[in-house]
Amino acid sequence: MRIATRLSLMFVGAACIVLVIGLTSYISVSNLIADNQLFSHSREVLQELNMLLYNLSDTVGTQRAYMITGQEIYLDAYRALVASTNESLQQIRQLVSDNPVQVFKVDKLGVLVKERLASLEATTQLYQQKGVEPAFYRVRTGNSLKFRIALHRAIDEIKSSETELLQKREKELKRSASSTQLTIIAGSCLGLILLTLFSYLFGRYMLNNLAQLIRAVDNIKYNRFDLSVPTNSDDEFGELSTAFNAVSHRLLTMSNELSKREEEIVALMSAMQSSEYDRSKLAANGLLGRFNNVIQLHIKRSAAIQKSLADLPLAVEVILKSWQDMLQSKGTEETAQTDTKLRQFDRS
Amino acid sequence: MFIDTRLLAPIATCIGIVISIILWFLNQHRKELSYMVLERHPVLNLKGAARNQLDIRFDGHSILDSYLIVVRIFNRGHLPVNVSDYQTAMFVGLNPGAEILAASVIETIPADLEDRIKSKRPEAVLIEKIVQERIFLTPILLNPGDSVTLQLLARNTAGAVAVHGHVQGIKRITCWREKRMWTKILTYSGAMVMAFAMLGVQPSDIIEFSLEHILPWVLIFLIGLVLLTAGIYWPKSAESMSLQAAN
Repeated sequence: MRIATRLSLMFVGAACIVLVIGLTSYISVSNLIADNQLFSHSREVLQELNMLLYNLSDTVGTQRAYMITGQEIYLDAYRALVASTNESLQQIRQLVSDNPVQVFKVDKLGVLVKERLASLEATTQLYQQKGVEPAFYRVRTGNSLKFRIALHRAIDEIKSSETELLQKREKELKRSASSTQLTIIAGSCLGLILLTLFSYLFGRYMLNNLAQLIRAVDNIKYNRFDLSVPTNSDDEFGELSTAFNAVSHRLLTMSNELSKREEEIVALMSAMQSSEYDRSKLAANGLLGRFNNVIQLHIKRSAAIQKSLADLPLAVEVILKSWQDMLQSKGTEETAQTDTKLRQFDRS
Repeated sequence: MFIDTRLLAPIATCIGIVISIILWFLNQHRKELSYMVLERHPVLNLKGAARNQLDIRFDGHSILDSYLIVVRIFNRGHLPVNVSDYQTAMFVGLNPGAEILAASVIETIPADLEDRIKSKRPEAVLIEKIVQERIFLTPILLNPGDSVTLQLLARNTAGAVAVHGHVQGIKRITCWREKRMWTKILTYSGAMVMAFAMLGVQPSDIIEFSLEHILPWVLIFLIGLVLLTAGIYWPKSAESMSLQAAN
């Protein structure tokens, strides 16, 4: 695999890891938010129930205050509290609309609240129309306590169900929170481990290959051409190693060839030197032979001359004898001819 | 996450102890010479009748049953091995009866190691002498990480090589083997993390397909898987690869 491909894969891998971690974290956080919303929802229901109870109590109290004092300000407050109580009930109904059991209970509560508010309204109107005594009488003989107990019971029922839900949701929320925490920690650890492993292994791979090449180049500087670099990868380093090995092999061949040529040159030079010596020796021998021949020739000539010189007195004696004989026999004219002959003989 | 403050002191003590041990280990100044046989194979790997018809000679000797051996001697300690440390010459020895036909230095680290000793003694060479089955090396300074790689052509041997020498501070010149302790730790820890992740996930979450509760355990499982895979497929060192090829 080529380095560029490796880098691309690493990038894609890293992007995928980040994506997975981001996605898982998103899912966890979304669930956490949802659980938190449910938890808040239950708390809100409980809060609204409390508010309803408070409003109801306050409504009753204000209505009583109005009847005792007869001041209009309490009547206004009473009307406002009735509206708030209805609003609270509406709010509770809305909040529990996703839970049929609670809806049923809230409907029951609604009936009780309406009855209670209607009773209060009836008493108020009685007070306004007939005065204090009939109204007080109605209060004294009415079902106020019974209403109160029934309302509290109904609210407590809803509250206990909602508290159960709240506890369950709180537990779920805590679990979600710890799951989210774990997801983020595990995701970060996974990312960190993968990043560290990728970086370390890739760096190690690059550095090892570079170190091998540097080592081989260093050794080539000192004429160790037979050192090869492993070519067990099909990436850029493999190509570089192959090229490097080819170059070092070529250098080795050239170096060997050079050494061989050097040896040949040395051998040739020594051969040349030896052949020069032989030629000179041969020439000298030739010259010496020729000189010997010349010497021998001269010796032979000298011997011939010596012999001739040795023979000369005898010849002279023979000639002189023959000359005497001729003188004696032919006379003076022939003597001149004899002189001429002698001169010729001398010349020769 | 809530951590009991009472645990902080023991945790800090444990971390301190671990750091001290690591620092002590890193500061160990040990002198160590090792060797490894990078290549060990017969010159001729021919089998059958053709072998009897072939004859390869080197310097007049038949080398049909000879071995080509490449040995690297290196200083893997933290201290240099000085010339004065050699009480006897270090030698590469084969089995008794073996005959070394040729030996040469094919690589040194640093590359100019031979030149460095030549600058002091021009006649000096790394291979001092070859006597039968032994190659005696000239005592040289080997700094941490320095190495000498020898190539031998020997006969009457099965390729068993050992490096001997009486060097001060070194009990014996050991044959190097890559320690893969980290890979074992990675493998086992990966397996444990995976098991932990599998035990951590609740069956009800799987049945309900509660992704938010399954996901963290999936991620932890992946961490274990990554560690396990890294431990199993951790690349061997270049030296180790060479050793594997040789053996």
